[in-house]
Amino acid sequence: MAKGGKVLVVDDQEGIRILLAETCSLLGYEVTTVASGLEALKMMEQDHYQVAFIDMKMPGMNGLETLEKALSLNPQIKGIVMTGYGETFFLEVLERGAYSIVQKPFDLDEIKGLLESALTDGCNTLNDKLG
Amino acid sequence: MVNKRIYSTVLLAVLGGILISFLVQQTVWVQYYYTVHILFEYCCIFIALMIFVVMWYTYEQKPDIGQILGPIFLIIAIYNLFHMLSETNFIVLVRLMEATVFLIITTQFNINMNKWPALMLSIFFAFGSAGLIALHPNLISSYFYNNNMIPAGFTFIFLILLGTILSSYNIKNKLQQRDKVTYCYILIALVISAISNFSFVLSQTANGLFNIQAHILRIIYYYFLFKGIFVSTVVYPYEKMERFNRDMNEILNNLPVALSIYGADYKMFFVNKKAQSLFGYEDKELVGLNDQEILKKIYENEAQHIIRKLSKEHMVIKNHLCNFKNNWGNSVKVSIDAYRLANGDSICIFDEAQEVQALDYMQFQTQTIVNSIHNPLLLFDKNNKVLLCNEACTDFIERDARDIIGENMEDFEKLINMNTPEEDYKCLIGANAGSVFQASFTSSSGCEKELLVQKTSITNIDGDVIGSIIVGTDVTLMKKEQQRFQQNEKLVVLGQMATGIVHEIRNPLTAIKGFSQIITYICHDNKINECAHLINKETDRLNKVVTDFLKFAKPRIPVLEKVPINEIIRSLHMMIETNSYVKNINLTITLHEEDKIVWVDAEQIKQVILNIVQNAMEAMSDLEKPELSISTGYSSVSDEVYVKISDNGKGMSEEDIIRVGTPFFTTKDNGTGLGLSICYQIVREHRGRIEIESELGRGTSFIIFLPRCNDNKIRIA
Repeated sequence: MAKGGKVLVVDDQEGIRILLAETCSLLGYEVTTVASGLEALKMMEQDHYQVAFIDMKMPGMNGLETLEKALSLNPQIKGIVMTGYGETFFLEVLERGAYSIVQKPFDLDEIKGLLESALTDGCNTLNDKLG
Repeated sequence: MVNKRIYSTVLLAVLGGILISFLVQQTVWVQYYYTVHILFEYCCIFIALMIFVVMWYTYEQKPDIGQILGPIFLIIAIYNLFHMLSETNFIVLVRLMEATVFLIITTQFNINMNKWPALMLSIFFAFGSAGLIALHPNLISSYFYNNNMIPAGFTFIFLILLGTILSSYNIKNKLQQRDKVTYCYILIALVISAISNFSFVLSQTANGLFNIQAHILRIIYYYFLFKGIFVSTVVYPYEKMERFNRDMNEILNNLPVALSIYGADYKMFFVNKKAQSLFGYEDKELVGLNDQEILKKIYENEAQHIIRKLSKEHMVIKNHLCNFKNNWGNSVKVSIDAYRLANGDSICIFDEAQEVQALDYMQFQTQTIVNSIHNPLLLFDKNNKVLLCNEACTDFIERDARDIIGENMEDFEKLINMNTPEEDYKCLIGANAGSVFQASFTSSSGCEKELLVQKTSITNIDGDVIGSIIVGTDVTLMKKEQQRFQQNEKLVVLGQMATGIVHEIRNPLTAIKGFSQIITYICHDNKINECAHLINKETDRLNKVVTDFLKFAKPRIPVLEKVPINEIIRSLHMMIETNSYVKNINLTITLHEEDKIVWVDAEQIKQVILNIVQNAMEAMSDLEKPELSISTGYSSVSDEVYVKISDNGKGMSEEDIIRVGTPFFTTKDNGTGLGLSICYQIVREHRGRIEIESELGRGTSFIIFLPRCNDNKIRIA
């Protein structure tokens, strides 16, 4: 059922990891979950991912750092930042090169839409998309 | 010198008397004995009555010479009358009385008796005794008018002479005294009386020279007695009064202070030289004028003469400052001390107010210095009475200086409702010198004010405490700022906590929501799907609650800018109109013709308006004809701009109105109770307020008041 997209989920919350893993599997994507930014970078060194769901608040390396480093490892990766802080850090997140932002608690349809657009979209970031 | 004059007068009188007696004896005596004798006696009666009259009219003045002399001379006159009318020898009684007179004068014997009883008593005595002698003539005449003098007769005459001699002895001392003129005459009369009595004793027959001599000398010494008494009771007191008056005028005129005296009828009767030169008027131009005329003539801008202000309660008025217009048209500033005397007279003492002016100037200087101090300041004397206060103080406590000055410390504290946080601590009195303490009070307009008070003792050069200074520092604003700061700090902490908590809630919420959706994807059991759907919906609700809570706990810091109020409404117009259209609400928007500027974060104010509009729309959801009106306006009284949002919905009860704005209070079935509390918080942040007018079943109006932007005021957001 894989649609040829590899998705990396970075979240310290196990529930979210399982949810996204399940969702992506259901939608037919190949998914890897990790609990921290460091693990994520390790995984990225090993494999090539098209999309990465990165939680904003994580112990150790936070979402923004992880995104930055992930982008430096793989500039093609579409980083989608998940935040539970509402709109507080939107601008900063976008400036760091995020493809999109998703507010917790999100709707799975939203995730589905994002994944689809990310994998078909030529633009890497929301900034690029807005021109 | 005086004695010589007495001797010569006596000698002259006696020789004159003898000469006249001789002439009378040689010419008319034998031939017209009765007529001449009666004439002599008339003279005596006349003089005795004259003395009585003089004494009678000076009776109340209590002359030194003794007031009972008056009635006694009446007795003498009556005896003389009997002597003249009847052949019985009343002359002995007359002589006895005369001797008594001399004794009374010289010993200054007196009986205090009112004049009318004294008169009645003397008349009764005179006629009584005279009647007795008239009925029993032998009582006296048997002793005298036998052929020769019998021893008893001698004894009687001897008594009279003894009285006379005793009087002479007494009078010797009197001569040394101040009013010796009186006693000179008395002494002359006394000596002549002795000679007259002696002649009387020697007279053997009615036609003898001695008898005539006794009569003539009696008239002469009556005359001297009259003169003595007249001088003593009338001339001497009058001269004394005259002299006193003259001296008094002299003293008052030579006083270095200006003064004028008014009678009880408020007419000026004396003005001294100094006062005359001060006003430029002579005494004759002022004396006799009443207070009104004086007021018109010399006072400037005085409604009432100072003496009119005196009363039995206020016997003295001191340092009354006023201006005079003197005769040369110049204005003179004087300080007046006015006194009311016991007899009703009033005295005004004038002082050219240079010294007072200097003092005034000094007080003015002190007041100016004190007023330039921005801290409230009070000066108390050693009796803890307010002497002085500055403008900062009167402004601070919102009272007039006149209300405070003269008040003692305790009354002052009561006046301003002063109290300290510490109980049983008497604020100002109890405070030690140099101590600093906190106090609060209520100003007359009802404002609670906080201040820091410092009390310092004032000592003189000997180190004695002569008063105290209280200096206050207004810490009302500082305390409020402090409270605000503390509140803000709390809010920051609350905000941080809320953010953390909300984040932590949202994570599991995401999982719950997501899994509930996954269930609906993968499960085909309708019942389970329905439940999963419910879970999804409830997580949305829960998320809304925590999102609202976050907004409340961590509101955005407002970014203020000048915005016309109508512009805010115009920018919302479309959105509200669309909503109204969908909900079939009749919308009316009225904008104030003057587009007032407010200093606000437009986005936040829009959020507030939309929230209230949303509530209004929800309140009218059951109505057939829902009506929503939005208007803007300006209240000049409070200098505030307002937005009024009214609906004709179900309205609110009074209890609900009070609770509106409290977090988590809601009347809606699915409200979080945070929307309006956020609105209230935003408006508060803008230094505005929200008022609610509501009537159950009629509708509700929310009025958002915002301070008008005034560039002159520095605003702290």
